[in-house]
Amino acid sequence: MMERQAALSAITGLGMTEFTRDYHKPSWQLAVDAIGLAIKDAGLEHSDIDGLLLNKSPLAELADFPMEMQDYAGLSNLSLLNVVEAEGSSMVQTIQQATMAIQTGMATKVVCVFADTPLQGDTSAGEAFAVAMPMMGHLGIEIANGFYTPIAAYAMAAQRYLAVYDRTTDDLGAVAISNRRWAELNDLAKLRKPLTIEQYREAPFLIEPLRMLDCAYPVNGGIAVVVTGVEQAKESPQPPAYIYGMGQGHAGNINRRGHQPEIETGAKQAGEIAYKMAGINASDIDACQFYDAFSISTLINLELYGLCGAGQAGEFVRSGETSPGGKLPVNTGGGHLSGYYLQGATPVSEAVMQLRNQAGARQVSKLDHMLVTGYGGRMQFHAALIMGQQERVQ
Amino acid sequence: MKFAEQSVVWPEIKEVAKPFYEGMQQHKIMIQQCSNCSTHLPPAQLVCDHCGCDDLTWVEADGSGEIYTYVVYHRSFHPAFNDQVPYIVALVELKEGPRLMGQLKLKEGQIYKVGSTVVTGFHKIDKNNELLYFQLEDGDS
Repeated sequence: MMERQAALSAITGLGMTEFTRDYHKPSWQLAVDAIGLAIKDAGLEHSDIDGLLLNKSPLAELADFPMEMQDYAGLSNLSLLNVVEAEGSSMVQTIQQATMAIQTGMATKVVCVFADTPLQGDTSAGEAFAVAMPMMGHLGIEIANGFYTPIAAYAMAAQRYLAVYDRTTDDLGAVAISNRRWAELNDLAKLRKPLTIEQYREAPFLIEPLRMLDCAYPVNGGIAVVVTGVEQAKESPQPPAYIYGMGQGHAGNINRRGHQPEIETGAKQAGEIAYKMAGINASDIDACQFYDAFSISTLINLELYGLCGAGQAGEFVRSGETSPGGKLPVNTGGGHLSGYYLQGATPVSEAVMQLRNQAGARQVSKLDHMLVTGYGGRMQFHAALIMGQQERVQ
Repeated sequence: MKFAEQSVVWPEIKEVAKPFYEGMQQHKIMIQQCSNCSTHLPPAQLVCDHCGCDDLTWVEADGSGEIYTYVVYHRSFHPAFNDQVPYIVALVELKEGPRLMGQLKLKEGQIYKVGSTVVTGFHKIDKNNELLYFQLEDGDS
């Protein structure tokens, strides 16, 4: 029996702007709004905040999300300030850094913020992300071959997964349906009409084997959280969302025999480190909030975080285990696919609402241990948190 | 085979990757090999990921391999590819081990899957540049 770790820190404030498909203001203004909402939610004043960690979207320029955010947000008393750039794993990494700073005494009340505006006026979601990203380490030969959009890197992973485990795209569809069932219960979610496997199968391929229904639904918006120490959290007006364990895994981009970066990712390492720190096993996880920009990543994450056997995630999801009423609720707000795509801030925001028992119709009843993750790039950068509702004093 | 007149975006070639791109212009697939542990590496590395050695030499690959994974574009995201849709982009594991990306060009009626054997060809994508592609080995259909 492992010794369960007492909480390392807690999220005590959550600030969310409106999530929109039209463009109202730039991301730095959305960030300022989210920061203000989070500080108020935590029952704090701006002058109480001594740390600010900025999660810039990889699509944005540094000038769109600069260190000067501290001035825009009226924070002049900081002993911790950084722009964390670890692609889609950044938001979880900001919370990890905040926790380490709090543990060492470098800061006591840290705001972590993400905001993005991929949809700008006449730019469609498809256009916003239809960029040539040298994601797979092939020297720009990617763009010469017409290998455009991040979707393609995930389609490569999906095809490899389906071939290795002899599965069909119905496994991907099962993930889209599970997410949609949660979104039906979430007023914040953007895609809430019931989805059937027949509808999924009839949808055309975009980049085969992925369909539009396998891809994240982008919005403009900002999300911030306040991270504090465990003692400070007791003064919070909101129920604290505690953090017990943290891990990262970066398995590299090795494109040769003996390595399968598409489906053998750093998630395994991130999970093992986080579980060990929290003093738990994968079987202790009650619910997951995964970064799920594409359906395939949920299948792979369920397996690599030790929650399913290899190649078995599709059956697991199809059987209803990850859906409302299932034994392992996953992406309980609809995730990126049906909820809202604000990169790593999406799973974090849903985790906090659930751990506060403020998730309404979609509230999960048992939440001793929730796995909250982020990944970036082609799934080569991973960060994970183990969170829960109890302080667990030892 | 028909190729779009609108120019395909050709990458700005970094010094370290020049032997690979120059090789393609001579219809050769150039990869790297570690002088310490003999591991073959995909272009273009500075350090062997297996042993950490930084003495890597360029060698010519045989040019055959197996489809490791692939995608099929059912819509175009760049004008140069509008009249190619649907087109296949494959990752091929060369006989020597490294994986390379290229389009898979099929003849009428050919069937392919992960694991199919392919060989390399080259096509002119603009007046200055030749790019590798893959085709099924003769006899496969």
